Amino acid sequence: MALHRNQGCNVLDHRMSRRNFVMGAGAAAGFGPLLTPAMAKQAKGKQKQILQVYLQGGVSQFESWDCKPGTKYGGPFREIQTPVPGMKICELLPYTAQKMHLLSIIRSINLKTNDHGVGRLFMEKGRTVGDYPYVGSVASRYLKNANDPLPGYIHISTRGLTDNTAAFLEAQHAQMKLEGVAPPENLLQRSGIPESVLTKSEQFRLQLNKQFGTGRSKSLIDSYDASFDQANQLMARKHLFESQPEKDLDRYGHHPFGQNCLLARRLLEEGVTCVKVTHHGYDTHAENFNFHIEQLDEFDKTFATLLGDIEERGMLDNVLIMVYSEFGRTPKINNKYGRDHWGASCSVALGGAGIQPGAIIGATNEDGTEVSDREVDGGHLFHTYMQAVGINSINDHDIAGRSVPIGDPAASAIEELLS
Amino acid sequence: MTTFSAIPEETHEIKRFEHEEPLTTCRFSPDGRYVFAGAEDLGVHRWDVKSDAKATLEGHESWVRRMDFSVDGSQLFTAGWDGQIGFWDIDAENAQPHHMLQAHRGFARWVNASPDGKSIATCGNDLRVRTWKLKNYKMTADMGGHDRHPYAVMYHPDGEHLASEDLMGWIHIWDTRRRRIANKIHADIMTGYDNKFAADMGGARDMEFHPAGERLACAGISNVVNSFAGQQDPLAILVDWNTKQIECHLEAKDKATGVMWGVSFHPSGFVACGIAKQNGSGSIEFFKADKESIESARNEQTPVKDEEQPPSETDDKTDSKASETKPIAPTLKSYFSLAVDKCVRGMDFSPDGKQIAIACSDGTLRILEMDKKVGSDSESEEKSKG
Amino acid sequence: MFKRVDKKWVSMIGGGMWIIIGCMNRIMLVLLMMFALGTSVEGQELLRDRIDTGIGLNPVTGGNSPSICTDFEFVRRVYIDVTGRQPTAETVVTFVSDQAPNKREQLIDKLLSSPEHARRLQHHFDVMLLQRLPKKQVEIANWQQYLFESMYSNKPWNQVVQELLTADGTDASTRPAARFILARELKREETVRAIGQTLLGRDLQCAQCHDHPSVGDYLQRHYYGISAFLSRSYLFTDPKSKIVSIGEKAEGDVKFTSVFTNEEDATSPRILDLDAIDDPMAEEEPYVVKPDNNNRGVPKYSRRLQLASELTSGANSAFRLNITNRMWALYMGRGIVEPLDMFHADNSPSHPQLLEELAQFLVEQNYDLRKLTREILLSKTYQQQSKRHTESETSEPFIIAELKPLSPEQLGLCLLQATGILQTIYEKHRVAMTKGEDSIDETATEFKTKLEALVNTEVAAHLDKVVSIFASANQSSRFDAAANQALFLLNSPLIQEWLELPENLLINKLKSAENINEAVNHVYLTVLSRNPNSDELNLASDLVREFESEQVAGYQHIIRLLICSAEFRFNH
Repeated sequence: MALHRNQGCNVLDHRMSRRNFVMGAGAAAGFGPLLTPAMAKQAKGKQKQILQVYLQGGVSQFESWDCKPGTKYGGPFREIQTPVPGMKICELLPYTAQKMHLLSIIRSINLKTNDHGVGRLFMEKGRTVGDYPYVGSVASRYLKNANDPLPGYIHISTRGLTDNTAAFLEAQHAQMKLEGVAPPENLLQRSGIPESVLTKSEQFRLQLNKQFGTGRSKSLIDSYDASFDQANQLMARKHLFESQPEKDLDRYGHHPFGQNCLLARRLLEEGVTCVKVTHHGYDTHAENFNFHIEQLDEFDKTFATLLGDIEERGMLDNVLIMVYSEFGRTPKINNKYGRDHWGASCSVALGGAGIQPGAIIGATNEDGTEVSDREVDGGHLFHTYMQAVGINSINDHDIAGRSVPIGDPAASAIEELLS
Repeated sequence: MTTFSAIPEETHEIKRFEHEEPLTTCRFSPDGRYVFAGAEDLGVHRWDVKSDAKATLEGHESWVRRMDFSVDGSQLFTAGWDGQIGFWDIDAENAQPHHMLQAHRGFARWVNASPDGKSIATCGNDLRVRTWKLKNYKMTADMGGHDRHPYAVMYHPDGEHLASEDLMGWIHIWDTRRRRIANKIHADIMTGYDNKFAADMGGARDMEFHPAGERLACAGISNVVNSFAGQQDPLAILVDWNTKQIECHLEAKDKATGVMWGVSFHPSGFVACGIAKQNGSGSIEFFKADKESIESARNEQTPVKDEEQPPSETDDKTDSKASETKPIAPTLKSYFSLAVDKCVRGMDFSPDGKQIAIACSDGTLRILEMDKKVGSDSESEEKSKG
Repeated sequence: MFKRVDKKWVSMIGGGMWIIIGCMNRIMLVLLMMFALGTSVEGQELLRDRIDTGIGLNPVTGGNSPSICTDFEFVRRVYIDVTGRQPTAETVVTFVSDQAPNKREQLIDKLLSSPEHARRLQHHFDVMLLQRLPKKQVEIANWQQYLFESMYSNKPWNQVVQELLTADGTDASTRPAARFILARELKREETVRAIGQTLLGRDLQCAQCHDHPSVGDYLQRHYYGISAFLSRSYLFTDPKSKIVSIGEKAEGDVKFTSVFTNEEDATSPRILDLDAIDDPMAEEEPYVVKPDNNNRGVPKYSRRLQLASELTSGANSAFRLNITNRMWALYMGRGIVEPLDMFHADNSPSHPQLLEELAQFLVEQNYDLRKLTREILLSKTYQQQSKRHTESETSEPFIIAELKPLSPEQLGLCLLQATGILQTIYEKHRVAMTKGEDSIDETATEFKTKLEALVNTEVAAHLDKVVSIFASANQSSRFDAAANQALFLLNSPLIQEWLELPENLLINKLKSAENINEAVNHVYLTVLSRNPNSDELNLASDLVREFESEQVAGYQHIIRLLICSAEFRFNH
């Protein structure tokens, strides 16, 4: 049977049938429901969202989630207690420590790579090779409502790469990269156009498309119209990119990461499916301890504030929180007081939607040189994130003509972490 | 004690103590019997210079990177990254402190005994500069003003002033009686913002007043290129106490990349600096820092504009090196460089000025003698380079 | 002796003889053309007709009656497909009013031989082969020039591919072709995947680690069979010049293990399911140049050179089917096999026999892409309308012309044309080239080539900007639209700059229009290659009037509106 790109159908019909598909009605062989049964019920309610905080460069697990104070490689920092009995994290995270009852830690990640690019992509895509969409693009594709006006995946970072994150998914699910809190390029309406013209212009454009669309492929034109809808919605929300309230900045911090996290919260409140904020930089081959103090000091208060605000607004049940890096750092401290790349035993913190809080998954041995229990990798993490927000990662992607599993079939979700 | 005229060019190693972990700092005790070292562990390590006996003092919960002694030489003070100051008898058999003082939140980066022997000054990551009475360990001053971590604080020999330098190169001169800032000097050459990784690097990694009080030496870094990879220049400055101006910069005569962890005035007049290089080796640089040398360096100096520095991608967080009207301090190059095969992370002259102790990244504490070798075969050689 | 013949009869007979001679000439011409096209005289269909038969648009063979697009639609469609940009308003008007019966064929031939067409193919094949990879080792401009010249000289496709796979980068004249491999730095995953996708129509990515979980045809040994041709090749950096080229060793074998079954296997070089190519008997001295730190290894027997000949050989049907399918998709808007890199047994072509015929034709024409293109464009299938007239009309593929989203490069050129910039730059250079030269032949190939090259250089930066917004690494032939692209079209100051350029010929022409209606009409012809209907004319003219004395701003606004339309975004 030929697998054709299905262009003749109405895109709204197509989306409706995808929803039926998603709700568990799909019956084609090999295609189970896209949503897990437990999630299907919840899906009727608020849509799940994701907050990603990416610590670029490789945050040291010794200086964050998996300390080994007083051991050969432990470094100079000590542990502090959290509200969770038996869970201690580094003293560099005092504010976050107070919020650890909302999060869990996975300490037993072995990425089998020490390469920035490979590690980062593994953590983003759940695969080590090949062209696959990032967590944010997958979330946008399967969680975003058709009528959600804003882009499904927004990445806020004042520097860093603009990746093509959608792979074979539609371009609207690719990350929209914001340069910090600056408005997206071309957001502002051209000046000098009379107000009456603006209104009539939009009608004119729609009329033109309607006329052109008569007797032609509706799905393509609807797709095109959708991008203009989104654009108009963004233009109508330019206040998000205007100055942020001082008292909020006082709490989040008057620095780019603080501003970015504040914007992230507001975007989540506006319903954006996945928001990612990158914090630079953790690649401390020299002066590891001084630089981790500097970076985590900035991260700690801001992140704790953001997490607290999300909880306070009742959003935590719906928003998956991910704090991750492309790998950890070596136990051995080099002669520049630095730590080098270390993918063999590193950590992430996560919580919110679908995740049991207050858990520690896995462990490393006494001196932190290897995983000693429950070894997992980027593939397992990816499955876990997907399942947590109700996307059945064992299934194939919903794209005509291709048969691509959402998560790597060689891995599976960390079941004990899913609530 | 007569001042020994050292001959840096003849410097050779006479003894080496070994420890399992890399060392962070070292000091001779004032009587010269011991050398003490901090390391990348929780202990403070003591070697008897003659008998080689080793003892480990325990009490800190983090690393120690700075030590000082009481004026009478009987006490050791240690500043730990656990925020505590340790107080030890230097001879103690049982290696426990007789007091631990929680002096700061976060690292206690520095401790220095006052000239009158009654107090110590400390600074830490809580941005505070504090003084404490030794008699009862009570805080006598708690001074704010640094916006970023102060790395070192030293008493001026007059006992009435302190100098501290922070991550951003701000040197504060404190009036200890009035407990406030008397002067500020911006050694902005000693700090840099790494644009790629978004962090500042700087701070005095060592600090020392000339015994006569006319100068202050601060050692650290300059010219940040890629500080997360250890790519910046080791540099020290000399500040003229009277004018409160930076008198000159001290740089290794051969271009080096790394950190200057030590600076010390030798009684005979030269200045020595210890460097940890990016490539894992180190050096001790010797400088003639008298007025004539500085003057001739100033005369040779071509107007150094910022363009001569590597292209700066930094934003305006980095202050310009000098305004158009203020002359830039001249740079003195070392006249002799002693190569060390490992990074030098701390150094100290022996009380008689004959020797240098260096704390190395391979865990060795090496005693070097600045004199012609006596001709013994049993001692390990230190490579000397002219 | 000569009877006086009535003049009327003389002229009739004379006229008749001229007609007969004319017909004979025409018949001779047709016969010659058919001969040239390699078809026989007796009744064998031209390829274009076989296309129509295959698609079901030939009433003679039982298909539907075609609904051919209008001249307005045709001139726009073929210009955009063949040269990457829509025609100027003047060209549209001239074409539509031309009475010549074979004007469409003449236009096709004119455009196919133009440098603009070669440029269009350069853009297309650059993206297809190199997937917008950044510069590595080979200067991108040199590579693009190589592609352009290959397309302009109509180099056979199999020769192009052989050059891509045999260039080792040591010879400056062939080094640009080495970008195909060097941009991937010979990394196995990327190089093998690229060969599979772009030259064989098979995305073997998953087959690196295991037999493809759901595509039964894509086996691990297919992946490694191709890899084996390359596994002995390596990047060599000349210690003096620092130039990187491709060297090769004389030994090394490829083994692979499935991550699912853990079974190990090995393979010699082989193309898909064709026979494995075993190495010849090992010689005493297997090297022409032994590899070491200073010398690039050159073995006597090169597996990599074998790849070029094996892959392009007649025995490898995947090679010809892939390029045929891609050429079809380029002009028809979708492949006979879709997606273009998913040829396998469970993904049947929509018209398998037609695909074979097209591929066979291409082989017979020695991989002459232009000849294949010509036949496609001359078919009625290509010239079908894109609009359904009744809801009940069948949605069989290719019966109705597809909407074809403009590629980023096409969109860039169309925007430059729509805003008058392209025309302005052409004119500027044309004037400069003819200044003081009275006898220059502007229709000569040399002149047109040089003019296009100058224009291409000048528009490069503008094109790059548009491409940066509209391109994605996504290899799918599916249409994508994102909010930031819409924002660009709506609000970008760059487009406004183009419109406000003082020397903009289009805007200046609008300024001198007799009335608003005339100007609006000209805008429609320039941007959408048609006249506005009366509703549109009224609406647009009203909008212009709202700008009051700033009429030019009004026209610019209409242009901006039209470039945001779906009608502009898709070729139709």
